[in-house]
Amino acid sequence: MVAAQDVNGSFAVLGQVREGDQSNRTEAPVNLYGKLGVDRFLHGSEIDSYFRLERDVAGHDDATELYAASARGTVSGVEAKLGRQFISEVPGGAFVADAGRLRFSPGSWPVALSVFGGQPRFYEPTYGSEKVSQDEQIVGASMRTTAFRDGTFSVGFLQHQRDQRTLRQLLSLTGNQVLAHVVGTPSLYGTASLDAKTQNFDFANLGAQVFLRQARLSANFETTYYKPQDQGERLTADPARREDPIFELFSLSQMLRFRGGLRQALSATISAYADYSYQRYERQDASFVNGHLGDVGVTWLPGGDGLERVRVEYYSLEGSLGHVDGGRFLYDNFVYERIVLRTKVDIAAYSKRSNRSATAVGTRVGLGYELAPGLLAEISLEGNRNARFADDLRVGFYVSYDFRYRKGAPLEHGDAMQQVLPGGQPS
Amino acid sequence: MKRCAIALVLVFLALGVTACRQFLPDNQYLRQRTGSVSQSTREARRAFRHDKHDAVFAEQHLTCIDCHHFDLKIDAKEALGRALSAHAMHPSSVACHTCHLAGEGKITAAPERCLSCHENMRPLLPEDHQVAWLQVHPSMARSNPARCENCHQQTYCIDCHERRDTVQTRMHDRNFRFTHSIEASADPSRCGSCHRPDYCTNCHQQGRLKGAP
Repeated sequence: MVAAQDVNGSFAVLGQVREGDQSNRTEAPVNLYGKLGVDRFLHGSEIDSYFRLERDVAGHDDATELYAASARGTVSGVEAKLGRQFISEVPGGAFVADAGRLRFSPGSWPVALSVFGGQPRFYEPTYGSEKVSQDEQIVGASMRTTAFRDGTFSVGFLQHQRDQRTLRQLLSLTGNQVLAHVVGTPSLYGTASLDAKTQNFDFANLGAQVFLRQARLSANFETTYYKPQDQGERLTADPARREDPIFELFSLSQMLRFRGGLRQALSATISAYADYSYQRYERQDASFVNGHLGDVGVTWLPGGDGLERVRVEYYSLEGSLGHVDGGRFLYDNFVYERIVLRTKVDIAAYSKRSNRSATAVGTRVGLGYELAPGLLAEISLEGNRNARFADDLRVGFYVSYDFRYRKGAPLEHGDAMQQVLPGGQPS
Repeated sequence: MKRCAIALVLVFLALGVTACRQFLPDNQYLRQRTGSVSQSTREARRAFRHDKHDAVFAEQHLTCIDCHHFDLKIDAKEALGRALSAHAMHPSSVACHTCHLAGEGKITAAPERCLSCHENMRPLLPEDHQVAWLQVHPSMARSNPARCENCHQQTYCIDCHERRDTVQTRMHDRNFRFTHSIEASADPSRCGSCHRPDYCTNCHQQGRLKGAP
């Protein structure tokens, strides 16, 4: 007998008409998203499912299908979760991944144990010239403390295989601790992962978050060490044997990163923020690269209720291939009954090492109307100007429907607007 | 010049719309989402069902005064007294969290997910989600995945991490098409979280993209 107590779902269809970015033809891609979940099913179990379908209705061949589903249940302190993902982008190119996890968390134990295994998720099927095999498996286990209210510590093991070859055997120590009695209640966190196969520290980071209530200042600082491989001086020819194939296009060595972020509430409605990260890594030609990413901006919430947002931001990037200076302006309005207005302007001036310099401008205006509770329809207009297009105009639409049904309670709506509320996207 | 004019028009449009909001009615669908922490707690309290908990309470030998504090001396004859009494009698969030959140009093069968009781999670947005959370969240999710699952279902991750080639720009702006190589060279460790090298080579090696190096 079905004993569902909580059913929630979200469906969205979005499309656009535009001139092809690469094909010089008119394209009309349409994306269909959906998710359906059942909570508090039999014995408190849960089922989640998700799908994404993409078609170009202008008649081209491109099509993507992705389906994912998982079920989670708990019996006698043992939580079991099983999931399957199916992704297909070309005929005959379907890929299916299965994975599962068991978690033992008896209330009387001070620790929780997890074992997991299966195939890692893939977000993109590989059909290109440089193939990375999708014959991958992961298996691992972790033990996490549950007895401390202000902190969690865990030790874990992960073995990752690709093409029947062990890529890494990671032993990890992870922890986070809130210092509740220290000014600013700092939260400290860190991870260290040793690759037992190559005796190589694969990843380590240490960070802290602080919120100084009187100064209304939030801060986050983090240092990271990253070395996904230790394969000598030469790039491994077979990309399937690279741990992080894109990183290894740039570096065969380790990378160090320092990152910091500040956010201060200047008043009840205005806050300023700044983020900066510095990376240093050795290139394949043994020279070092210093990378900088940073942005600084101001967010104004007129009325202070978050229903209206104005944001102005300056950002700057610098790497071995050039630098970018840009600015963004965002204005979102959800104040008026059932109406959603979103605008965005992004201007990026870039100068590349390949002697290409230009300014790219992207603008977007979206106007939506909540036709019924939970049902939102939006039309968007884009106007872009860049090195590829002197004038790039795009017209799009977005329709979404969100609902939640709880046994004994009427059908609920309203998440449609929640999804597009400015506060819904963390900074 | 034309770009400056567009930007100025948008700024003035924003200011104009902002000024007008004072003269328009409130949005009934959105009003409920601008609550406070105490409002979210009240909603959670209303969602509580005694009949669903009676068996567990008996099994755990929990009595009424474990949650309701009868020891407060308030004259309930007066209106103010009645209100105070009702307020004082209501169990605080500690009463619920003792059994539902990880700790010494945690009952295994009690769901840990905040959404089990709290309908409106917006006022409960954790402090650490406010600063550079997009950059921080991989580390935090790795160190304590159970904390994420308190409020988020996995579809929340999928929504961003699996959206590809869509007409909406959620992760990268439209201009990213022209500046991505610079960002990749500044921090090459970020791309691999979502993309595989085929994503690069499909354009850069097959000549599908005009002008790509």
